[in-house]
Amino acid sequence: MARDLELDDLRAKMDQAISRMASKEIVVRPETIKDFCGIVQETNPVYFDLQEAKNAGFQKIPIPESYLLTLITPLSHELFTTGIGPLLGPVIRGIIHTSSVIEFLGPLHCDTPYRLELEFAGLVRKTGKMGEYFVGTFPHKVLDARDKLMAVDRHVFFLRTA
Amino acid sequence: MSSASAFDEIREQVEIPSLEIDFAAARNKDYCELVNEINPLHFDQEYARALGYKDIVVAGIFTASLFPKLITDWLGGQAVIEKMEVKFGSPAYLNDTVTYRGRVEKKVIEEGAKKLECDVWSENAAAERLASATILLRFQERV
Repeated sequence: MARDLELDDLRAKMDQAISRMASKEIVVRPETIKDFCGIVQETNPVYFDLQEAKNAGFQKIPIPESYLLTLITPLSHELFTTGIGPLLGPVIRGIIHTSSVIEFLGPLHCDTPYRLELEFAGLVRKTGKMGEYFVGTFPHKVLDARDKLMAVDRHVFFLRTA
Repeated sequence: MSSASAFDEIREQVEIPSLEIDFAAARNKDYCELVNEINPLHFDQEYARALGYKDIVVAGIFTASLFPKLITDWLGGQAVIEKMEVKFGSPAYLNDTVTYRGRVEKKVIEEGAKKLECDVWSENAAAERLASATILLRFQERV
């Protein structure tokens, strides 16, 4: 019973902390995509040569689908620092990203403003071979300037207790 | 199969050409800098070992980035990814060479749209599966 109350309390605090997090405006620059392509060995020139992109029918350099998980990292970072970080400090000793369900709803382009938003979709307590842990689900959303949802990643984290 | 493959030529159970990447220290450092990584699990060996890992764990968002690339290397711009469900099993460690593989599970036509469902996975040099994903693709061409 006490453990249920403790979990409910943590859920409520997380919900409150995440609702206070402001959305983030983001513009991906072509130089960033060029750097990313170098790191993941992406050689398709549409991702780093504007003329090639235009020849392929794009107005701007497209953002590769492989970059989406990287695009939303500012949300995860804020989540675990100023977001719910202060709540977790005493009880959590490790954070592990265990799964993601990603929907790509439209093409993304460089030099285009997008807004990143984070939601809280639940927290459960589990016990496994590595001890007790929490499982939290946090949808990360990418919206365009007209508030159209362009992509969503339902990030699931295991939060290992101290 | 070449990148010129069209939906109609692809058969269920066909294997997707594999992709190999070495998560060397320099590559991991470049990625951590690109994303301003804050989780020490991905750059601090001592911290990773204190958590019970044998070495620095390469970030899941980094390793999973190669799943879409496996598909785009194969099909080029012929198809777009609609959905990807990825599950992380064993971690990829610093300096692991990881191979990405995949297979076409299902071909479907929905409301004139040609789609493929593919199972993809990554494995280390010991052939241990690290992460797996299901990817749903939609071809640009229609029925």
